[in-house]
Amino acid sequence: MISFYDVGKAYRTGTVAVERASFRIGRNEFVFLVGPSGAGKSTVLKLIYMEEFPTAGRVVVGKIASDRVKPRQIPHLRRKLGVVYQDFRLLKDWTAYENVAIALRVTGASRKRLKKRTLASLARVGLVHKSGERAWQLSGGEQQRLAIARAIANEPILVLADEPTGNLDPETSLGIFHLLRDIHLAGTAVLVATHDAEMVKRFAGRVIRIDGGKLSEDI
Amino acid sequence: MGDIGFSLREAFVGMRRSGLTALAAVVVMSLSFLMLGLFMLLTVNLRHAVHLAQARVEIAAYVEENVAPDRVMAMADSLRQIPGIRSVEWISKEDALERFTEELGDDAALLESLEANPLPASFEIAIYDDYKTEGRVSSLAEQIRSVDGVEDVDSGLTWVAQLNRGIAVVAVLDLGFGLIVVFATVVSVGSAIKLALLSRRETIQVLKLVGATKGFIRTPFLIEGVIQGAAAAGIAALLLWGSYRFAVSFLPDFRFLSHFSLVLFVVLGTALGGIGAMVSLRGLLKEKAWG
Repeated sequence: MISFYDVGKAYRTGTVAVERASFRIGRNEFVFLVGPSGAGKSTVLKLIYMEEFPTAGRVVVGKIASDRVKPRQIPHLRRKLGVVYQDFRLLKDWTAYENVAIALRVTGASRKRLKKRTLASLARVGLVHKSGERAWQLSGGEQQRLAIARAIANEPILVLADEPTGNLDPETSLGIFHLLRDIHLAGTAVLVATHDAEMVKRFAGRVIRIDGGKLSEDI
Repeated sequence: MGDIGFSLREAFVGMRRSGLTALAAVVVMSLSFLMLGLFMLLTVNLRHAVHLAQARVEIAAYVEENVAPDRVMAMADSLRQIPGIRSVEWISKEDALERFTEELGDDAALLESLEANPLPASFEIAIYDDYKTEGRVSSLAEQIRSVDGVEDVDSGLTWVAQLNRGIAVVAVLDLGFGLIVVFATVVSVGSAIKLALLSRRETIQVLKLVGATKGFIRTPFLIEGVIQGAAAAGIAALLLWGSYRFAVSFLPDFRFLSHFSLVLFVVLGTALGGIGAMVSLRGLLKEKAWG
């Protein structure tokens, strides 16, 4: 489903973020991408949702290849991926409902589907009762759950989470990992970039390590 | 796209957020539209004035001193035979003096000091409307001048020609102003849109993240530009109407723009707002690629 073929990414500043990386992530996998901060984890994720493009090799997501993708295909690719960030990237003065619904609005979903999927996603993360509240009124953990609800609203094939618990306390973090694990169990592939070794140990799964742009895999 | 409710709401949110800039854009646009409108109004009225003046064009043929009455009859006959001439009226020296006295009113006493009547006798010649062009009137004047006993011809056309040249200048000015207005509008809408874009950077980021197409992201900004253009054109039209009412109190014959021109004016303003938004969006959304 996602394949990296000898992918290299060097930024214009000269920094090499990823070097000769090759791996695959199949449907319904749960994968940790671990490494110290600045190791290139975020770059790997950006290469997948095509905010960045490789300077060597190619990235293939579904049927879309990084070396052949047309700019107008990118929005359609993003709809198949759900992305969750450390800083949530919610619209603070929008309600929880609107923050999730926007993911469906951009696809031109029917009113019925929009409502159904928005409520189902909010229910999935346990926030239906707060759907009328503005994002800024929610706690940090709730905001991240809301971001997850937005990420799964379009029933993506893969959820990408970039340090999803970086701003949260351990207990809340655990809740977020449980939620991601549940999403995985319900049939969606999940790729979590984290430097939280504790959680990685706890949620035994496939682990890809990255350090200084070089990838290696635990077996 | 297709979510008009969302786009409209976002357009209004955008204008509220960029508040003063949006307002400033509307003010600048209104003023530039008003300028254009005033020139259009001036053009329309100059054209109208020329039209009226042309309708009133008459040729005066002054007659030599001391022509005998029977020669007057003969002259009138030969004048009537020239094609284009509708009627010929004899104004004797006495008639001319009488008119002049009337025109002078209180100053008529001045004439009493004169020993003889200094005014020449003349024919007042009315011509058909389709002969009232510059070329035809001057050729008529030539023919009239060649009639025996005619001393001088006054076609009154020189100032009509001048007026016509004036209109040509005004038309060029109209065009120039039109271009300035287009430029000012595109720039001011552009800067308002730029601010709106900045104030909604986060929203745009999220929209891109969840897979919004360019069209979806652009639509609210486009609507914003169109609304600003329409508001500015509407305000300018009202101010123009006010200026017209003011002018009419001095010049009762002053005319307003036709309904068609007025509609065109507003439609054009609205379109310019949209174009301004589009131009600035093209540049701004290109930065930091879509990918």
